[in-house]
Amino acid sequence: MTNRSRQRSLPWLGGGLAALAWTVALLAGSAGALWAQAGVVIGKVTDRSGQPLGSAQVSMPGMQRGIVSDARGEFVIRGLPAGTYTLEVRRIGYRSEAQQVTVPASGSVQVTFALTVSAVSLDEVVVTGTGGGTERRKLGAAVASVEAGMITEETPVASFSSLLQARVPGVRSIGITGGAGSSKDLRIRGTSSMQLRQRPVVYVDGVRIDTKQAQYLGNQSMGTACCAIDGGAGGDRLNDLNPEDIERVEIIKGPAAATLYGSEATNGVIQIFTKKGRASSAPRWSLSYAGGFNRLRPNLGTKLYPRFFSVDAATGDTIWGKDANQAMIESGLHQDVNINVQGGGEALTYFVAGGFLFDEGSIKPNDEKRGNLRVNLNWTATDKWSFEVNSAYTRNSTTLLQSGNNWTSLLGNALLGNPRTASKTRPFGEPWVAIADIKKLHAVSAVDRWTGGLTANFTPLRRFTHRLTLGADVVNEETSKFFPFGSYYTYVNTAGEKDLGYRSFKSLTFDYLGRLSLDLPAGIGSELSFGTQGFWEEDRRNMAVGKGYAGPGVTLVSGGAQTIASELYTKTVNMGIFAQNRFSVRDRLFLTGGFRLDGNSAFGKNYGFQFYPKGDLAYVLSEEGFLPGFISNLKLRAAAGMSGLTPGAFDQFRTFQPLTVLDDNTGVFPDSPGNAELAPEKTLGLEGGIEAGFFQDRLGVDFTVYRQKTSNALLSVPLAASQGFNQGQLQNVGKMQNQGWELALNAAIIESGHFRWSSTVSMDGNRNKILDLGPRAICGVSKLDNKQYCKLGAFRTNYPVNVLFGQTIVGDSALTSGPTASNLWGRTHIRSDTAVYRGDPLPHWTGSVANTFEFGAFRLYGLVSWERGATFNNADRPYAIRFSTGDEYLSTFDFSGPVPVKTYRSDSLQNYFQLVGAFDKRDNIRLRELSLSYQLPATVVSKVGLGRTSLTLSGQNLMWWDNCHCREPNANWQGGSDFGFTTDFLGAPQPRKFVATIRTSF
Amino acid sequence: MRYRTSSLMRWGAVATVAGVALAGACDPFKVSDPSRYTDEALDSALQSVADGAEGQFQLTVDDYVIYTALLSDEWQHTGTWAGYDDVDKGRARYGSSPADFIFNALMRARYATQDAQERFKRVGLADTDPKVVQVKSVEGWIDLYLGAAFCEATQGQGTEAISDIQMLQQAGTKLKAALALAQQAGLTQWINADRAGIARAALYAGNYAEALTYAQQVPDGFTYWAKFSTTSDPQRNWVVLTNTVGFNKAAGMRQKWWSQVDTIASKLRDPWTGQLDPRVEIRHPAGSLGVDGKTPHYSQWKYKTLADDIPITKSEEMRLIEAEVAWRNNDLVTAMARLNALRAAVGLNPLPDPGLDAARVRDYLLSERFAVLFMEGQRLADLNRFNLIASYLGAGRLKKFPLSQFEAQNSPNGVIADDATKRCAPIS
Repeated sequence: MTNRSRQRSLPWLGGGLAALAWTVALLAGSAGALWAQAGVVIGKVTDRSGQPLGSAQVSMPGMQRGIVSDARGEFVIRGLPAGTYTLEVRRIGYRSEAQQVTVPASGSVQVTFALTVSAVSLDEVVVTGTGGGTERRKLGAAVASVEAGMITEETPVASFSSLLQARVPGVRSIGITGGAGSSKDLRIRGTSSMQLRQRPVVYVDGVRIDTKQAQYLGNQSMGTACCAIDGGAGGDRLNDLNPEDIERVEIIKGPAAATLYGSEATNGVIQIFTKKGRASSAPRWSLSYAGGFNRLRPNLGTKLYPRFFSVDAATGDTIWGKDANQAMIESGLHQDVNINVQGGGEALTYFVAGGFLFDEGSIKPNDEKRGNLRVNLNWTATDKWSFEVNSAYTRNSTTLLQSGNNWTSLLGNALLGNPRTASKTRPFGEPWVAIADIKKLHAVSAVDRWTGGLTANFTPLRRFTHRLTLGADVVNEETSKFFPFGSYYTYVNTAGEKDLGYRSFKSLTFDYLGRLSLDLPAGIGSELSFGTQGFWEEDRRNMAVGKGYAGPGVTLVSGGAQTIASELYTKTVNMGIFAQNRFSVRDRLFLTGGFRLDGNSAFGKNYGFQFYPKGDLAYVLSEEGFLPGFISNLKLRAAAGMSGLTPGAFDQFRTFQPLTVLDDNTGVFPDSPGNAELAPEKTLGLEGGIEAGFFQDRLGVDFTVYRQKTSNALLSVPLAASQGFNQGQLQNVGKMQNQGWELALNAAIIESGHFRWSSTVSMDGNRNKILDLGPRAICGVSKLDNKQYCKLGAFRTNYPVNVLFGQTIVGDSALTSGPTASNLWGRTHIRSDTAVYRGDPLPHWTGSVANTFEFGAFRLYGLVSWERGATFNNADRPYAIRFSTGDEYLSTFDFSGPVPVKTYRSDSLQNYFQLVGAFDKRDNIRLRELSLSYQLPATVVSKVGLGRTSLTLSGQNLMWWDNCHCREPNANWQGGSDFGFTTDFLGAPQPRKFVATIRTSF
Repeated sequence: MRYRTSSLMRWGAVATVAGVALAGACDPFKVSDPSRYTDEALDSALQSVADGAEGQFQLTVDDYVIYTALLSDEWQHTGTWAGYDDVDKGRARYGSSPADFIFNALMRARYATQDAQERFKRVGLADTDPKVVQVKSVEGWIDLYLGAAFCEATQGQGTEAISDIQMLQQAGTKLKAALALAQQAGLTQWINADRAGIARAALYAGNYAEALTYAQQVPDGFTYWAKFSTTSDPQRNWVVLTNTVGFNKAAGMRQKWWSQVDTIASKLRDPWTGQLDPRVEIRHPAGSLGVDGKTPHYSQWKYKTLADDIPITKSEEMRLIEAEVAWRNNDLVTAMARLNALRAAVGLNPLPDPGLDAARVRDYLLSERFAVLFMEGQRLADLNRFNLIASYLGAGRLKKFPLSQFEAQNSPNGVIADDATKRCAPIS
C-alpha cells in the first residue's frame, strides 16, 4: 500500500467508527431508561493489595444479568428490584468469589471484591462442547482457554495464530513460511487423518467460519505460468481475524471433548469469543498503536558469494557475487492501530471496534493490509429474553511474497543463484528469473469478508433455557498475479500473463441448544442438554488467465491474445442432533453421558447417519476434606468420546474429468472411481487427567494423557494403472492412533508488595502411528526384485502418517586424484537399493516457558519455546549443491589462489546429493517473545484526560538455535497445507519483529 | 412486555415449523459435483469419450520423448532433478524409476480406450463407427509405445505382465483389428495410422517382411500428430517447457553432438556431407548453461513453442523402414535410394556411395533415422535394436525402463510374471 492510501484509510476508519459508536451509544442509553427507577449495585474488583482488576466477570446466577469490570475494576448494575441477590466474580488467575447484596427499592448499594491470586481455575465457565456454560470443575475432558484480552495487553499480537503460539499444550500454531500474510500451521494433537484436512473447526461467537489455509486457486488444467498464483507462501483466512477484538478462546482438543460437534470435530474445535459491551457504562474508548519493523535474521547460505565473480559475456565487466543477507534483507514496516468503544445502558450494551494493520515483510515486495470493523450488541429484552448480535467486516489485502517451490521465488533465485555465472542483468546469477523482474510482478490477494450472527437466549424458567444461533460467514477473495510484458519469466517468456482468481465462500450456521436443570433427591443434580446443529457451506472458485500481450500498458486478462477460464465448486451440508445429561453428586462427582447423530452430504449415498457417543467423569476430590493441606484443589477426570471427520464434498461420486485435448477439443477420461459406501472417519478418544492446586492455589497443575484411535480411516486405495482412474478409490479401511500427554503448570511464584513473578510451563508429547492400512495397501516383498515396498509410500504400518523414508548412501568408491572421463573427481557414492526410515515429520515433544515479572509500573514478559523429534526433507541442500552453488557447496572450494577452484570434495558432495536427499532435524529452541511494559502514572495521564496508559517494547522470534542446515527449522515449502510439513524448499524464514506499542483509554 | 414475548415465541414457532417443512420437502444432503461428468452422462457425449482416450495417450508423448531421449544418446541431464540424472546415467530401480509415471499414464490411457469400447458397445454403436475405430487404433498404439520403451508391461487390466516383444506383437494384433474396421469404414487417416503402427511394431519385433508390407502402404505426406496447445497445462509441450532455451534448461543434447552443431545456424551438420541438416535443429546461444549452472546447454530447437506438435508417426518413417528392410535383405541399392530420397526432400546432397559396404549403409541408416526421427522418441528403440547401448553410452546401463512398481503392487491378483528374463535388471 502506498503512504497516500494508508493516510486515507485511517480517517475513514476512525470517522466511521465514531459515528457508528455514537449511534449505538444513543440507542443503548435509551434502552437503559427502561430500568431507570430500580436499585443499583456499585462495585469494585481488586486484588488483595488493592490494585484494581479489569475484565472480571460479574454475574448474578439465575438472572440474565452480567457485566465485566472496567480497567479501574469498577462496575455498576442498575435496574434491580429491591431484594437480596448473589453476585459472583470470576477472573482468570484469581479465585472466584461470591457475595450477597441487598438492593434497596431506590438508591444504591456498594460492594467490593478483593480476589486472591490463584493458579487454578476450576470455577472458570466454559461453553464449547459442554452443552452450555459449565464450570470447569464439572468437566471430564480437557478444555483449554486462552485469555486473549490479557495477552494482547502484555505483548503485541498481529495474528490469530500468534495468539495461540506456544501457549496451549497440544496445540501447534506456528508460522511455517515467512512473509506478511502467509499461512500458518494450526493443528491439535498431531496428525489426525491420513488424507483429510488437519485444521480444527473454528467458530466465532457460535458461527462456523472459513479456515482455508492455502490459496492455491490454480486449476491444473489452466496453464498458469507457475505454481498456482499465491507465490508459494499460501494465504490464511484465519489471518482475517483481529486479535484485538478477541476476549477469549476455548479449545477442545480431541474427540472425547468434541463429540457434540459430530462429524467435523476429530481435529478439535476452537471457539472464539469476541469482546462485548459493558452495562451501565458510559462510552469507554480504548486506543492502541503498535509501530515497528520486521527483519530477517541474516542466516541465509550466501555468505561466500562475494568471494566469487564472473565476467559478463556482453560487456566483459567483472561481476562480484552478492550475499543475499546484505542485498535482499530489508526492514519491513509494521503498524497496527486499534480503537474501540465499549459501554451501554442496562438493557443494551455495545462493543464497537475498528483496526488497521500494515505489516510489511523483510523480503520485498510483500505486505499485508488489514482493516477490521466490528459491532457487537447485547440486548436484554426481558428477564426471559436476551439477544446478541455480532457483525464483523474485514478487508485484508496481501501483496504476496514470491517464495517456496516457485520459479519466481525471490529468495529462491538469490539462494540458488550462482555467483560464478552472474551477469549485469542477473547479478545474483539467478537460475530462473532475474530478481529485478520478479519485483515487477504484481501479485495480490484481497479479501472482503463479513461474519455475523444472531443469538437468542430464552429462559422461560430459571432452570430451563434455550439458545438459538443463526450466523453466516461470507468470504469474497480475489487473487491475481500479473507478469508484465517485456520482462522475462520462465514459461511465460516476455509476452506477459495475467492470472486472476476469484473465490466465493459462504457458510451458514444453525445451532439450537436447550438445557434443563433439575435437583433430584439425595443431593443429585441433573443437567440435560439437547439440541440440533447444522451448517451449509458453498465454495466456488473461478479463474481466468490471459496470455500473450502485444505490448506494455494492458493489465487485464482480456488483453491477452489467449484467454482461458475455469470454475470449481463444492457444497457441503451437515445436520445433526445431540443430547447429553450431566449428573452431579453432592456437587463434587460429575457423570456425563451423551451422543450426537449426524447426516452429511459427503457421506456415500448408501450410507446413512453416523452416531457418536460420549461419556465422562469428573471428581473434585479436594471437596472430600481428607487431602493434605498443601493440596488446595484436586480434580480427577476421565472421558471417552467419539467424533468424526467427513470425506471431501464429492469424494463419493464415480466421475470422469473433462480435459482439453487434440488441439482444444473436449475430452473426458476416468478420474475418480467413487465409493457409494463412503463413511466418515471415526475417532474414539480416551483421556484422563488431573487438575490440581497446591499451596493455596499458587501452583496449578493440569495434566492429561490421551489416546485417540481412528477407525474407518480414509485411504485412497490405488487401482493398478491398467485399471484406469487417475485417483485411487477412497475407502474406509485404515486405522491409526495418536497418543500423548499434555502438561500445563501455572505458578504465582512471588507476590510481594509491588513485585510479582508468575510463570507458565506448557508441554506436550505426541506419537502418531498407523495401525492398519487395509487389505490392499500393505507393505510387502515385491515379486519384481524381492525388495520390500509399500504401496502407499509415506503410509506405513507402525509409522506415523507421512513418515520420511528415503534412499541413503551405503558406500563409496576410492578417492580419485584427478578428473575422470565424466569430469568427476572425488568419491562416487553407492545408493541403497530401497528407501529406509529417515525420521518422523512432526515433533514428539514441544514446550514453552513464559515468565512475567511485574515491579510497580514495569512488567517484563518472556516466552521461550522448543521442539524435538521432527525430521524434514531439506530439499534446499541438494538443490543448491546440484546447482553448484550455496555456501555448503562453495565452502569445499580451494580459496588459496586468486580464483577459488573446486576440489575433489566439491564433486564428492555433488555426487552424494545427486543420489539422495537431505533429511535434517527440525529440533530447535526459540526465544519467541520478550517484552517490557511500563504503565504511565495515573496522575500524569489523567491530566490529559486519559485513563490507564501503557508503553510496551517487544521483540518476537528474536533468536533460535537449531542444527537443521537450514534457515528456518519450521519452514514448509507449501505454506500451511495440511500435509506440506514433510518438506521445505525455498520457503522464506520467519522474520524477527520489533514493535513499540502504546495503549490508552479515555 | 408480555405481548412482545409471546409474539417472539409465536414467530419462533412459525420459523421452526417452516424450517422443518422445508427440510422435509427436499433431501438436504443431496449434492452433485458440477465439475465432473457422471458415468451415465457420458452416454450422450461419446465423441468426447473417444477424444479423451486418444488425448490422454497423446499428452504422454512429450514425456515419452523426454525420457527416452535421456536414456538414449540424444540428451543429457543439465539440471537439478535427480530423476533426470538417474535416467541420464542409465539408472532405475523398481519403485524409483522416473519413468513410472509415463508407464502409468499410458496404462490409464489404454484403460480409457477399453472403457470407451465397452460404453460404445453398450449404447449400440456399430464397429465401423469412427469413434470405435479411433479408440481401437489408439489402444494398439499405446501397446506399441509400451513395447518400445519398457522391458515388460501388463497385458490387460490388472493381468499378467508380458515381455516387450510380446507387447509389440499384441500391438500389431490390435492395430490389424482396428485397420480392418477402418478399411470397412473408409477412414483414411486411421487406415494410414494403423498401417504405420503395424509396420513399426513388426520392425521392432523383428518381423521385417510384415514391416515392409505395411510401410509400403503408407503414402508420402502422411503424419499422425500428437497435438499440443497452450490453452491448458497438460496440453503444453513439455519437451519445450522443461528443456529448451527460453524456458527451463533441465536437459540438452549429449556432449557427443556438440562439436557438430553450427551455433550460428542452429543446426547440426550432416556428418557425411558437412551440410546443415534442417531436420536437426539445435540452439546454443553463446555461453548458455543448463540450470545446473555448469553444463553447456545445447537445446533441441525442433520444437520451439509450447504448442508445437510431435509426430507420432509419419510417412518418412515408413520410407526408413523400407530402407532398413532392404538393407537387411542386402538390397543396398534400394536402401540407399530410399535414404537419398529422404535427404533430397530437405535439400541435402546424396550420401557418399557406400559401394557394397553393408556396414556403411547401416551407419547411414542409423544416422538418417536419428535425423529424420530426431526428438520423436524412437532413438532408444534403435540403439536397443542394433545393440548399441553399451558401445554408445557405456556398459552397466539400463536398456529399457522397468515395469512400474505402482502397477505391480496394485494389480489385484499379484500378476507379475515369474519369468525374470522379461525384466530389466535394476541398476542403482
